[in-house]
Amino acid sequence: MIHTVGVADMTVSRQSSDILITHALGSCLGITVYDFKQNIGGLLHPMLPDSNFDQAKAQANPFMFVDSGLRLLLEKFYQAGSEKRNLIIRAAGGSSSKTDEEDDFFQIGRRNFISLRKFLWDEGLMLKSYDIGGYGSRTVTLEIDGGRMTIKYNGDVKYI
Amino acid sequence: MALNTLVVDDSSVMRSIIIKTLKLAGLSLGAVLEAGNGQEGLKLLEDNWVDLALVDIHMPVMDGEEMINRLRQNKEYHDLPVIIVSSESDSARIEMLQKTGATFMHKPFTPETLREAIIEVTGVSHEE
Amino acid sequence: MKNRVEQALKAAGLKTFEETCYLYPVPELKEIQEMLPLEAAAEVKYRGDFTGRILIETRGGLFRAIAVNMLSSQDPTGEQKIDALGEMANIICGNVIPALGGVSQGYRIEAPKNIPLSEAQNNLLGEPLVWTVLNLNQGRADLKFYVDGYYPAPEKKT
Repeated sequence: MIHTVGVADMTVSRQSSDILITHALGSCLGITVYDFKQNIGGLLHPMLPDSNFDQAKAQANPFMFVDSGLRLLLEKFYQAGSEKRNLIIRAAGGSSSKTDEEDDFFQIGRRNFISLRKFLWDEGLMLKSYDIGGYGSRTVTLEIDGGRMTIKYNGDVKYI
Repeated sequence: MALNTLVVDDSSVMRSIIIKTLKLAGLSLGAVLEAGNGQEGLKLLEDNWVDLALVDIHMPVMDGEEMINRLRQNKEYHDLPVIIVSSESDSARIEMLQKTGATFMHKPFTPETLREAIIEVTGVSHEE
Repeated sequence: MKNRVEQALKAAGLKTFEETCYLYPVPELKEIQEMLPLEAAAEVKYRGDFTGRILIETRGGLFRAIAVNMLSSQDPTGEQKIDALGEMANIICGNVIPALGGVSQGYRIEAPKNIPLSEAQNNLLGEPLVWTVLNLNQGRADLKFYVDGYYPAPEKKT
């Protein structure tokens, strides 16, 4: 079954026939977590870097922010008995809203990715791979059977 | 095989970052030794066997360049895998250091790029 | 040379803050961070075809944030905070030096030195060739790059 993950949302699955997908990743991130021992996968689609900037919004929807969203996503894995060393974490998105990033005043995409790396460093985790930046929109899928992550970007398809 | 590792940098905070990255890289780590300059690093090697050294260049007392040159003249450690972790940007100097067989990792670096260098140099990858 | 150093200083500063302590620029905080008092300063001297120093100053909580983020520890010691700031100066310096040109004999970078606030506040180090302000999400960094015997020309009034 295909599960579509909306903006500021998250899905976790352990059904091997499931595919998680999120569309229209611009400056937002598509963050996938996959436990290769238990074949559990999760996909998060946060919009903004840091829940400290707007705690009311973060309370209403933690998945809006990279840090609060990923904390909840990882909790699902820990509750399922996942060990950090078995988690594969990958990310895509973080595009600029301008063709020249220097013209992008807020650089939300870049901030999102830095925030992700800070969260992982504090949590004692590392990114396995990523496809970040540029200009344009990405679609990300995660297959629960095997954990393959696919990115469609500007007409190209890549696996990371 | 557990890798015994020597980390040589005059910044204790940078040594902590490198050691944390080593731990997160998924390698089987043995003893991790720390030194604040090249002289301290060489002293540690007199009494301990290491499989990998990560060495800064710009350090007081003895810099990384001298330490690596002395290592290469040492029978036991002439072929020790060395990763230079430094903000050195002089391409001629970097090239000269690479000729000693060392791998160069430029500061600033991300934990992921350092992990790649460690895996490449040691030939040991994450146990998946 | 000034333009080259200016570009290199900004680029090296942003990259080093981003990759080493996970901080990013927030230009919208510029006005809020304008009047913040100085917290700490560190310098690194370089020697080669040119000699000089880089001075890094922090404001608005950045001094602590650098060590907190590098170490992932909410409680860094005073020594660790000084060490972390010095290491930032060291990395940025190493990355800016190529912009000076003239690398015939290469450059040597000295160990970082903590600068007493009184010295930094009273600007006793003189006029830098380039001064870049980074408004970051956890405070402000002022990067001042000095080249001995090389003073910026006064601005022309039009």
